[in-house]
Amino acid sequence: MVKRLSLLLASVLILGSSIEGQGPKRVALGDWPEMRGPNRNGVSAETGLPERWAVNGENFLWRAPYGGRSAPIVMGNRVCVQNPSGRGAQLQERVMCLDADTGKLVWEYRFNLFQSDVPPHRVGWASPAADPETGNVYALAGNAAVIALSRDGRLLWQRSVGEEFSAFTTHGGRTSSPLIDGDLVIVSAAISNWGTLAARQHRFVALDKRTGEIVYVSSPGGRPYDTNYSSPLIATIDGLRLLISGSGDGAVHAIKPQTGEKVWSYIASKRAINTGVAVSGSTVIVSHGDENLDTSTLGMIAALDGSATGDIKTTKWTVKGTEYGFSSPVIDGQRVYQIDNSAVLHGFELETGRLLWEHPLGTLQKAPLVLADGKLYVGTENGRFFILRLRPDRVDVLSEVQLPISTNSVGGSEGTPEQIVSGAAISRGRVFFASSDAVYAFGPKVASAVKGTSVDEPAVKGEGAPAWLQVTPTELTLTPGQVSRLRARVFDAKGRLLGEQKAAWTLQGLKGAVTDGVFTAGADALDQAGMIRATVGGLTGEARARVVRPLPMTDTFDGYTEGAVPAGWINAVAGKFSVVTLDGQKVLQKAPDNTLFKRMRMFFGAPDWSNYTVDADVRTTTRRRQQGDVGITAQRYSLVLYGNAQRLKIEPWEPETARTVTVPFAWKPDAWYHLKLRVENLADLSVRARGKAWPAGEPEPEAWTIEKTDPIGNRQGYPGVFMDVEFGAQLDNLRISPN
Amino acid sequence: MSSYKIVRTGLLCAAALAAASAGAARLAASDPGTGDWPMWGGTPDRNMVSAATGLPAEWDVKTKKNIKWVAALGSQSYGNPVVAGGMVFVGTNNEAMRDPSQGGDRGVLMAFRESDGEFLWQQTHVKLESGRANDWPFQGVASSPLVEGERLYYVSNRGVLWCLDIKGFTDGENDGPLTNEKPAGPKDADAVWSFDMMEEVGTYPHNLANSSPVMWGELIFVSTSNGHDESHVNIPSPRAPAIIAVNKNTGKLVWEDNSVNDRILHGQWSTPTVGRIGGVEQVVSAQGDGWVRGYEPATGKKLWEFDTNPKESVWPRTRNEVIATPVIFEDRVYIANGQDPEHGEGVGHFYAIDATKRGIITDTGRVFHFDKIRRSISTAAIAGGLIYIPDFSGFFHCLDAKTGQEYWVHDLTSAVWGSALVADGRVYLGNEDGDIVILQAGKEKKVLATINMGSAVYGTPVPAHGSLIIMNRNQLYAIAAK
Repeated sequence: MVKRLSLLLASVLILGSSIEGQGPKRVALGDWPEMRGPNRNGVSAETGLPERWAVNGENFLWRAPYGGRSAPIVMGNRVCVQNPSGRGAQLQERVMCLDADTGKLVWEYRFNLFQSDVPPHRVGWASPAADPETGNVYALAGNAAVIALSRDGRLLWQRSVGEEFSAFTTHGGRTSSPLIDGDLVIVSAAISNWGTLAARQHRFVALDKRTGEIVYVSSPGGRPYDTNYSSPLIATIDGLRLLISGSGDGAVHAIKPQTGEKVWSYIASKRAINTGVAVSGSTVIVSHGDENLDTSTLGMIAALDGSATGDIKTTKWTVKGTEYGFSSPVIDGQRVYQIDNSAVLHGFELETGRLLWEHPLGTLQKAPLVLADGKLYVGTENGRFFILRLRPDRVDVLSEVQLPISTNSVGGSEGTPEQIVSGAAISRGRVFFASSDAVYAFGPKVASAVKGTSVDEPAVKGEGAPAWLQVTPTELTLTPGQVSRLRARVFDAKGRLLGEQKAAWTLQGLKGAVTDGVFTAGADALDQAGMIRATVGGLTGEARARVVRPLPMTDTFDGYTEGAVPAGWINAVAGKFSVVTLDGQKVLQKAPDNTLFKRMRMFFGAPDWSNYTVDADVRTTTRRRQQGDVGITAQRYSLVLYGNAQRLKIEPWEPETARTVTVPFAWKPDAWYHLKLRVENLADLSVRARGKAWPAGEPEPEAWTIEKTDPIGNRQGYPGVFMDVEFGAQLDNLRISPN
Repeated sequence: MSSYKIVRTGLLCAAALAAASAGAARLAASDPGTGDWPMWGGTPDRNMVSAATGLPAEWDVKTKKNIKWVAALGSQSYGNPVVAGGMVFVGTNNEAMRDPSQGGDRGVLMAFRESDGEFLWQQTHVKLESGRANDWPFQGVASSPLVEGERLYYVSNRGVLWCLDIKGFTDGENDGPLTNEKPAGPKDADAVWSFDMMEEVGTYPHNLANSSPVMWGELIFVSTSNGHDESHVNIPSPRAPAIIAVNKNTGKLVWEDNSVNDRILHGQWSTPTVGRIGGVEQVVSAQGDGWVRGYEPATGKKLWEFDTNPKESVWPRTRNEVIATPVIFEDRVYIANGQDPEHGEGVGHFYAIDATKRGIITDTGRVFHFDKIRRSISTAAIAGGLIYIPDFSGFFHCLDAKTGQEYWVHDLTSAVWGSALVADGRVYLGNEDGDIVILQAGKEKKVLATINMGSAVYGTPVPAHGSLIIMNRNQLYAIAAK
């Protein structure tokens, strides 16, 4: 009774203070704001679209020499793509917008990759997303940085999710495209942070689209098998708005897009899901190309009841045995189309899953289907672009265009036809797509005059009792004395915002004070990490805060108990870092580990630190002819002792070896070495990183032994540790000091 | 008429070669057609050619026409079948679990009775803790075993070279020195010895250890699959060898070679070959730097090395690794280069190498270079003066064995992982669409049949006592004309 009263009271208060809401959302017909279009389902409502074209021939509009592996988006007269820029030492990731009529460059914004295992030939995996409300363009970089740009390409903010959450960004390169919903830009990645989020999990991270503040981190699933790049969509099923996405844990999850609260999960495979879903009514079409749970066949396509809640165990229908590993399905009335890994197109009956027809298009397939005007538009990895007329019992090939031989591929292959691995965009009568070498446009010289909207959603308004409490910003890094203003917002059972609410606030594991949502961080001898908890009625919500010691800081690890993990050190738990006693001294050890976690980046301090020097003693051991590699990081540059190679390197981004500076360095296992790395921002915007290494206990050599001046430098970033050691390594006497 | 003539030519050719190497029966050039196929390629020269006759030319997996038996494999099968001792041995994964006490993702070697496909025994291996860096999920055992007499040798997904008793425990004996196998039920393997390459020589296999062993005298040769780590630029164990020789009786290391050192482009998934070249017996190994090397089998002394990539090529755009197996044929080594199928399509190269030369023979030993091939992971079949070599893009080439002149190319419109088998006047080749394409052997292209197997065929058809043994991704078929 008491609880009910307080809830009633709460809703009354909200009605009085409700100044926020979501929407309305309108997308002009003709815009293609995200990789799978205005409704994120691969479908365009435009008509009168081209049936054929030829490179430099009929219906050809332009070819712009910017290869990529992600789909274009279109807003008005701008076609925007995400791709790599330059090669070798000049290689960066880039978002660029082209004039839709001419393909001429309007603007580009380049950004560095750093502290990531993404290789040069897999940069630019995701598509950008444009916000119809503000015109802003958002991108998730290969190293999981979120970049927010204005409509004219000016940086609004960026958030290094890759460092802050230790996103697992690998050689696979697979990166999910962002999605914009209301005030949120939502990204997802396999991340392992600290405390309650220490384990590596595929998580959805929602950021305030205007500020980059973290609004929620949602973890609907289990341990990820792989990184993935399922493109998410939002659908309303039985009046409930759901963000539905495949995940690295082999499941398809549905969460409430504004809160991250899980609604349902369906485990489809023993590997990551890379495909997007398609929705019709309450039916959700899921597909994958890997191991099924219960048969020895690979791949499946199935229909789920998306109005369910909890763990979905049954399907409306399932067809197994064909690998749909990469493309996303589309729904056309009563039919579903999906294309398998071998580029065979399949048509199914939506209601029953009955196979209607198959049609081969090539040998290898990654790109998703786009449906428009009764036709499918799709390119193959063999470099053929198809326009296919859909018939009840077949498809007719209206046009098949072979792209030229690749001479400047962003991918891994030249000398064979330009590859198409991403979807098309439809806008104002025209079709745009990217190949490994270029962006192509075909269709009318003058853009078709299209009227109306492809999305026209009213404002989303909450009603009834609060059911969810969200504290924002929910992830903080502070220094002692710093003040942070937190908001407690409540949502109804359908995940719709009711408004900001007055809450009772408490601290969990943090020194400092919190009053009315204003948190003042206290000081401590060591770093702190904990929760700032809000309570409203029976609801609780939390912000997570790291409070880090200001510079200069030193750590001899003597202040920790045996087995302790320094509080708030990012990725320390997943990386099996803890304080141990070695030869009578407390040291930080990375435990022997033969799993994926043997190769680890750990970060501490604050992400906006710059112009500082890191010192530390390091030590590895040797077994199986392998000595291991160990290093320290400052401002996104790592100084690493390579054991097997007997080298010392400075590298911001290991896979792009042209960015790395290497010198020979003889060093031994089971002995301490001192590493010193100084990074300085220079006046000409370049950044200088200098390092030295010497046997610990010996006098410091006067000269730097290795130096890198980076003309496209990283001007801030966390200090950290890099260790790639199967048989364990130690670190001690850490010192970080301003230059 | 022409078909008959080509069959005869093929037979004559095979017979002549068999006679030429009669002095070293173990180096018999291509399968003599006795009915067994005891190793990858049938014989140590790895030429995918058999003198077998009476092989089926038509069948249907749906109606069961000419299907002698079918056995369930896991969800992904890359370890090509071998046939010996009345049994068929094949590597797969554990998704068709035979023993609930050995559950989860594992690499599995299975033994089936050749006559009726009955499952006899298996050896399973849990995945390495390190996961995909060393042991990619669900890829199972990808090594094709070698059988000699009562002994079977293969490399597990954990990078361990195993020697097993081909009878398992069905003979009621536990052969040793290794006698503490667990489990050791009637359907488990009887291990004789094992050699852990990761522990003993420090290898760090990239994605999967997959080598198919080959034998010379008392020695077993395998490549180690040593390669990159997750970063794909760092080689954790550059001091580990690319190829090792192990005593077949004791399981002890005899020699190792690491000419490739820290120049590994990616992984090392080619498998060694043994043959007589210019009167000298050699073990030939394609390695992770894209080079092929020849060694003196007894000592590991390097005889020659050959770069399969043009000087100006750049990894991974145009420079390739070598995944195919070298084929030794009439004093030449034939090899295609390519890349991990995960990397997609790209330009490839195919060479005939004069391996009688010594030293670096990239220029001096190049008999011909065929560059109209795309990336290929397939091993050549050479018969009747013709080379049959598919590429990963699905183009199937027929070349003149002496000059490299192309007689025909056939577009399979599907990726090819396996290799062609030439036997009985026909050429059998599987593809990722699950089709077995049967062509007439010869300079004229003639497709005789296309038969779908139900799921992707990554392996190579194997002749066995008048039958063909063909695996698709998750099933093993024995096919015989009735």
